[in-house]
Amino acid sequence: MRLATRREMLRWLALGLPACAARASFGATPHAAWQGTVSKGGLFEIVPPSVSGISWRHSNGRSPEYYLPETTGAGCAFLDYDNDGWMDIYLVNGGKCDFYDPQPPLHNALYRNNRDGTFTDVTEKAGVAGGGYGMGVAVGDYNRDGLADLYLTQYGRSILYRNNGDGTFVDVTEKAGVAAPGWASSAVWFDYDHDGFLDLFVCRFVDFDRSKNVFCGNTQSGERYYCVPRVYPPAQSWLFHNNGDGTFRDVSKESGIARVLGKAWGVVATDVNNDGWMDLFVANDTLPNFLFLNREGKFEEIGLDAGVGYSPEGHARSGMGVDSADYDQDGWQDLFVANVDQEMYSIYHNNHDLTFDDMAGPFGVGRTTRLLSGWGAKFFDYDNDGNLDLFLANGHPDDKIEVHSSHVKYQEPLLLFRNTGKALEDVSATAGPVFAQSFAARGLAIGDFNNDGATDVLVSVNGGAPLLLKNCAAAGNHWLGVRLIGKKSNPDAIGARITWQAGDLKRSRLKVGGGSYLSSHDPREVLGIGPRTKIDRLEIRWPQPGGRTEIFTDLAVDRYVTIVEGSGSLAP
Amino acid sequence: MWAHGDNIRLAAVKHPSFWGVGFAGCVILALVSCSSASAAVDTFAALSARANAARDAEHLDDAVRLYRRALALRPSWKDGWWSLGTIYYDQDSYTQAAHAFRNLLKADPKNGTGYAMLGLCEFELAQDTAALQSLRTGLSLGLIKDQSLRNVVLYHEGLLLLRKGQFTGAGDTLALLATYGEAGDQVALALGMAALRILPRDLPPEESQQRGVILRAGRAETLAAQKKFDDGARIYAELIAEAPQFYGIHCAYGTYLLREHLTDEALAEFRQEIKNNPRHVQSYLEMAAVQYHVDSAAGAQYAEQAVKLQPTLPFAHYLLGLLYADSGNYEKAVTQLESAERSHIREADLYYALSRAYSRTGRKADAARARATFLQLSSQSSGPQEPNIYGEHRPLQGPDANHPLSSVEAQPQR
Repeated sequence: MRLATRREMLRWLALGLPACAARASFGATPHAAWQGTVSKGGLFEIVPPSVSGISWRHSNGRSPEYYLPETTGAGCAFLDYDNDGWMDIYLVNGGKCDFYDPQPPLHNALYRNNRDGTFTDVTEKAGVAGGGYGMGVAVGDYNRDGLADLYLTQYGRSILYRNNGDGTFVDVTEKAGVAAPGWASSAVWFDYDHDGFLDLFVCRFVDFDRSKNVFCGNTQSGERYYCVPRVYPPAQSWLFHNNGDGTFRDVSKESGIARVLGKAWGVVATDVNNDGWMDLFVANDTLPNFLFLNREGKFEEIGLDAGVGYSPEGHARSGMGVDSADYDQDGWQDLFVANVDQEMYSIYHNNHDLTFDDMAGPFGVGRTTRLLSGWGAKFFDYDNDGNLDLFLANGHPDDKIEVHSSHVKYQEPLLLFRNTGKALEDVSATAGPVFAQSFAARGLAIGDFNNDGATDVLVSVNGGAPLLLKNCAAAGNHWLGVRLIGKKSNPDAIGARITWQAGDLKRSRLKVGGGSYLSSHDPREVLGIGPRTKIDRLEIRWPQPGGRTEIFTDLAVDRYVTIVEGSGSLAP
Repeated sequence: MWAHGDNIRLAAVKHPSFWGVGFAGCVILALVSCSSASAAVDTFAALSARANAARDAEHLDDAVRLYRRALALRPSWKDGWWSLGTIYYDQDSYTQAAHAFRNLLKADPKNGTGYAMLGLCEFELAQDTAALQSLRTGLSLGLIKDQSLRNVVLYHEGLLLLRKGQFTGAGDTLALLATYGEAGDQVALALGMAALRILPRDLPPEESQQRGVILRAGRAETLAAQKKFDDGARIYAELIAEAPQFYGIHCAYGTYLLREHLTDEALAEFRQEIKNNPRHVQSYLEMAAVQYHVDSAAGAQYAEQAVKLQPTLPFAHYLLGLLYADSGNYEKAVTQLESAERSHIREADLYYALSRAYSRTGRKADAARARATFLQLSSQSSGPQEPNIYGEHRPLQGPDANHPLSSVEAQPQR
């Protein structure tokens, strides 16, 4: 998150021009023509609070002192906390901290899915109101009891809520040892050392507290704006090793994570070199991004060598939201990072040799995003044609930006890029009315809240009501929803490789951990197959320490199934 | 001479005691109370009090003498060096003033205002490189809250950049001044020079038609800086109608349009400039830059023209290298980037591009060397980051840092 410096040598290089893109194509895999129908409301429709029952709003506590956390939150999640097969919703709020004491106190919100398109606020009963200045949320079954636990990142001290299995949670932070004091942002659960337990990586942003708040603004008039984070010192992120007994050990130093200081916003656990060990891609703000390569439990930061640390011109940018997916189906995980205006977002194509090339320019993503600032970001197949599309939530961090810029707005539109099989095509203009609106969007979570197989989207808005977006774009295409439960492997199957074939369509997907910004997603994978009516072959390669491969054939579609590692069968 | 910034200069630096008006006032009172003691003992306290009193009484020659004596006794006396420096500055004794400010900075190395004053002295002494460095250091460290000082410093920074042919940087700085409300003809003329890429030494004489064009272009740029883009565009359109052959006018307007994201219109202007002036390197570079990341192969053709026209221009080689690399033509990219490197451009960006190109051509050792240089230069350019008078944050330039554009911007080739 930063304003463009006046003296960047090549700041004018990126001025856009509608033109052909010489390298803007990928893959030669068969591609099914898009079969979805655009509903009256577009590809995605807002489900208003009057329908959903989600009346909660985010409060940022914006103050005259312009404390930086105020403009950076918050996150959201789709999760199934009661294991009923329906996605519930968790929303993170601001709250009491050293610069803010809201009265009455604010609270996060857990909404139970009523299975009819409406939700009920169960926060109080569940005991997950939070209590500090919340930032993000990461969902994972850390204690292997089959229940979704919640890790709530906060400015100040984070919270681990263990799911009791009876609709309630209990704060086990102290016992677990994962308070992560400081300003935590995104977090991700993944098994970095192949012991079958989910470990926890927590991004830490800058070294900041109320006493360190820097004046940024017009010294003559006293008018403030939010500081470019460059003025605050960097900090180390945390890696907590899951001891398997409900406690964690801080292994940040011994694992190599603490060797570099960053200003971390977004994180995704992925495998960029196909060695089966989950790596971490971390977006830093005003510092180079980190690509932590997992070398059998020890991390080596290779962002610069890999070409993902800096812009193509060698500038550290303001990385915020991240994601990872094999968008071109070449078998290698690519990376995405959203930056602030004038910097353009990046799509890093994996060259299969631990180097990446930024394809944002050729794909037109650069041109489209040049005046935008991106936070929430997720690859998913919104139309179930088998290709991973890209959804972006945007908004400038500085609410005064329009005073300084005639082109950049505080509230910005959502963006939707459709993967045509050859390129990413910006379809926002035709994707419905919601894409014509502007928001101070931050977090973005994906999940199928109505179990129709079309992945929906939840967007959190800084200082506003969240957006629940119902996917109307996948009608006519077929799918299989898969929930993976690891037994020997980590219970959330992070790192599993799913490969499916339907007629001429063959696709493969790595189940990544986290991604986006401050948010957590539906743990199920929806496998789109376009107009084909059955899946001929489904292969699950479980992550280590399980590591086995299971194959299923001739599967009926348009349903969700659960696959328990080693069971050899599908369950509804 | 205008280019020395006669009129926009610091008007009232002689009296302020930035470290202790209260203290000075007490000393004056004490001095008055014993004014009859003409044979005061030559202690530091007595000398400094008499120096301040003489300064306040406008007896500047006496003040200088007394300050010098007091400072000989106590060289760490910051207020003394400040007062001495400002008196010299007001007397146009810039060498002595610079000496005083340098001594001030020895005692108070974080004094941004001291650096700014030193820079203004160096400006007057035609020590352009030192002046630019001092002014920028001052801005990075932060100035006292004085709008006129800020504007003077920015204006002189803009002029220095113009003198160096760093037109883009000059335009940025002067535009900032315009946003602060400095919309007079002096600023407009400087902005016009930046937009039309005219060196101060080439400024046409007053009352000439050419000078009028420059001034009006500068007014258009001033309006744009004040977010009155349409008004500025109107002026440019009039200028182009009246003086369509004026050197650089189409390129200036094209750049103006680019800032407003009117890319197609901008390209048309660049093309017209090239039609008028087939050797207009800047227009080729602008067109090439527009294509970067969009259609780099097409952009490379324009950069190739720029290289052909001005083969000594490192930026043209660098840009061409970037465009080749973005087109997947890494061998040719290496050749161009190495050409830029041979010009001794110590710029992190260049070494990053080199490292990527070497890496993609399998030259691992060279890639590692370029990466190391990139990291070294990057760390040098990320110095103290404190808020300054802009309310933004600019990296402190290293003492020997040359702004990269000083040697890479296309110079006018009429």
